[in-house]
Amino acid sequence: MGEKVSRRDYLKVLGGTVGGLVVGAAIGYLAAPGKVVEKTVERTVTQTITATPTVTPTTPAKKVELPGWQWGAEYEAVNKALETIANEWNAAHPEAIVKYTIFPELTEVEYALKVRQAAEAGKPPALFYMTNTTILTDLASDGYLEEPPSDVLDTVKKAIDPAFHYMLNMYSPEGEVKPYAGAVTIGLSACALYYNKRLFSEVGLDPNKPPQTWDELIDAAKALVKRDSTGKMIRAGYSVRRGGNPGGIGEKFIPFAVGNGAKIIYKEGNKWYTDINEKPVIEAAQFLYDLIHVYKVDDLEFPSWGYDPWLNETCAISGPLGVGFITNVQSSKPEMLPYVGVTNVPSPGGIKTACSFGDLNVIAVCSKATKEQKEKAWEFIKFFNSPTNIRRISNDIWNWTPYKDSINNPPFSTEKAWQELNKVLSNVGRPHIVNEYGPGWLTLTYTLGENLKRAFTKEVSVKEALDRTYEKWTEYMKTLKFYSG
Amino acid sequence: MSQKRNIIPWLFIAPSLAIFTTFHFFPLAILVYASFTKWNLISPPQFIGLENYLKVISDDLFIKSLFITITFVFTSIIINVILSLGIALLTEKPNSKLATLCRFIIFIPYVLPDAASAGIWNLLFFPHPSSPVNVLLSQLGIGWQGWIEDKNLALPTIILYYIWKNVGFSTLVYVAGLKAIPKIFYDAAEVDGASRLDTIKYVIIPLLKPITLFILITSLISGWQSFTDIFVLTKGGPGTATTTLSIYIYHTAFGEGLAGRAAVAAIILFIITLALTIIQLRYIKSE
Repeated sequence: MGEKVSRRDYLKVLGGTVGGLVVGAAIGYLAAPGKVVEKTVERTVTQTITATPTVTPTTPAKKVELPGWQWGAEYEAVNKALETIANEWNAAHPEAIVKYTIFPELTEVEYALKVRQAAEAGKPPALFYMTNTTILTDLASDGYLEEPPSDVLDTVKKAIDPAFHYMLNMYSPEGEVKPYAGAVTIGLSACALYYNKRLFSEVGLDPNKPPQTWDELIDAAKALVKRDSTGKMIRAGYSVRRGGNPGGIGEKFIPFAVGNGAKIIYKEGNKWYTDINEKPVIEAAQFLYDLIHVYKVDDLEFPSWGYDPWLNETCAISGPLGVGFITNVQSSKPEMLPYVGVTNVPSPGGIKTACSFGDLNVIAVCSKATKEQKEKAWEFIKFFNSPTNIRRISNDIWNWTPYKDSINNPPFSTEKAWQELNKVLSNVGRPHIVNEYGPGWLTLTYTLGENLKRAFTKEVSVKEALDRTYEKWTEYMKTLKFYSG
Repeated sequence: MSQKRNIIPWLFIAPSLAIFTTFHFFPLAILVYASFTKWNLISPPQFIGLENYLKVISDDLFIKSLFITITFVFTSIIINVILSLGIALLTEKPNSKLATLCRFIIFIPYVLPDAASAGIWNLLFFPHPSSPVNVLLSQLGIGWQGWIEDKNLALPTIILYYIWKNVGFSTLVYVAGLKAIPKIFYDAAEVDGASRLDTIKYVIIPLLKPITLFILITSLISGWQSFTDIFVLTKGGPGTATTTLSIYIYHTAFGEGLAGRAAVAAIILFIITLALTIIQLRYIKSE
């Protein structure tokens, strides 16, 4: 106690600390990008495909690895089909092994960030498997997607119904619309509403006349809502998404706004703008707010959103949800299939101005991959587009994809629910070309979702929530090379 | 020889110092720099001076998240300390198998991974009439509750979760502390005619002060930084009812792409944690 410390000792301590800091800083500088990626990988489920040789392999030239990153966990059957295709490719092409990895827990923004960081660290994926192409619009406009060779593009265009060709397009970093998708994997994240025909009949509504306008949705939902003797909700008439991933909240709201005339993100000259706090969007947000607080067809405390409430009949009308809704009914509760009714996302002008959330789930190639990886990746995509594989990922497992042969063959040509969905998707007046939405799309939907949550729980007004979204997105856009005014 | 001996300890310390610098000081320096920039985590940062600080301080959501964090941390810590001391006193009896079993059961949530225990909690408190807790409440005639979907109940539910998760650890520390109190103090109290309550008040609680301070400091730091469980349970919702500072930082940096603003909030969180820890350490020292 009280021992005197000499100046020499101080210098030693100082020297040791400074030395440690310098060494540490150097290690940190060198290791930082890789470490960030490693940390993210910890939170994922990895499915590395091990090849079971069924075809005699050709003599390998130079071995290339093709990491294929899938955002979001799809239905087991779809994942298995994608895995089988990769397996067969690997067996025949030991020189270019596809390493198929699913990232079920990352949000869209996190996935895009992970790709960017991996690219910075020199280890980007070669293939993007998407169950949500909004991520690709962001990556495309930031220069992370490779344009497909003309033969790949021709193959995919020939196989897909022409009505869906526009969904292969995205914005390039130069602001031009170009096709970037090479193959369709998991169908279409189209937004439609799914209603329960049995419940419609039960409350005296015509099951063949689903709501198409905002007013019709209010009337139907009011008739369908059910409460117990204490006034607590036991069935929502319609479910407004207000929880979970904020990006999802924003994404499910946008079809209502677009159906009311909003542009969301648009380009004028070389600048990008948003009308997110303007009249069409405010009215759409107010409409959803009123469904909860004025018409009381949904309760904030009641878990009404998603597949399960619809399947358990605790929600009568669900959506906007993708085509996977029907696949999910088929696999989880097939006895409910005859009650599936499909209608457009309601808009003030009905189906004429309704918006189908056209969002093809595709495979694309990363522009930051090596030349060898890119060449092999396109070869793999050609292999993926073979008629056998198309049938495997669509008809065989009830996964609706807009391939001509799928649409025109059972079950899609015979099952009523699929036919109704097809009718809705091909008849909507304002197709919502999400793939062409430009830079900052993910950030906008996320920020919008965060703020809509606040508006729906009455923390701020609808206008304040949208003004805040505008302010934050504009600030974010200023960090990009695409300046927003 | 003496000089050589003095260098050797520093050689042993150098690797851990290097690791500490790499993963703590270096990121901290980046954080401070980022707070003065407009940055989206990818594009090169642009220096903007104090703009982020002004925007964060005037952000109503930041202020709200600060109050939510304070409410969450202090309520859960106070209840946790009282509860764990009570459980420790009830289960400290040596050679009691029942007491050991009780401590073991209470300790289980602490060793579960955050995401797993939050998942269990989600199942128990699922806001639906059929969830286990709601069924129980209905049988008691109280009626089912929205729990984490109810903006008035979400924060109390999170606090309850935090206590359930951490009370086992605090209890274990208290039991160890109780076992370390020499028997002579109890004997002296008995000779003086002290009741059980008096013994707790005048002997046990004062002697357990260092243990209590240890629990307070560790709980305070972990509480302020709590993220995973809240994120799994509510993602900060409904609305922003459970948006703590950590959740605010996450949304701002990784959702809205405003890493500069998030850095400011992180620095404020760091300063508060540091200040509270220094105050507590000074208090220990003065005691």
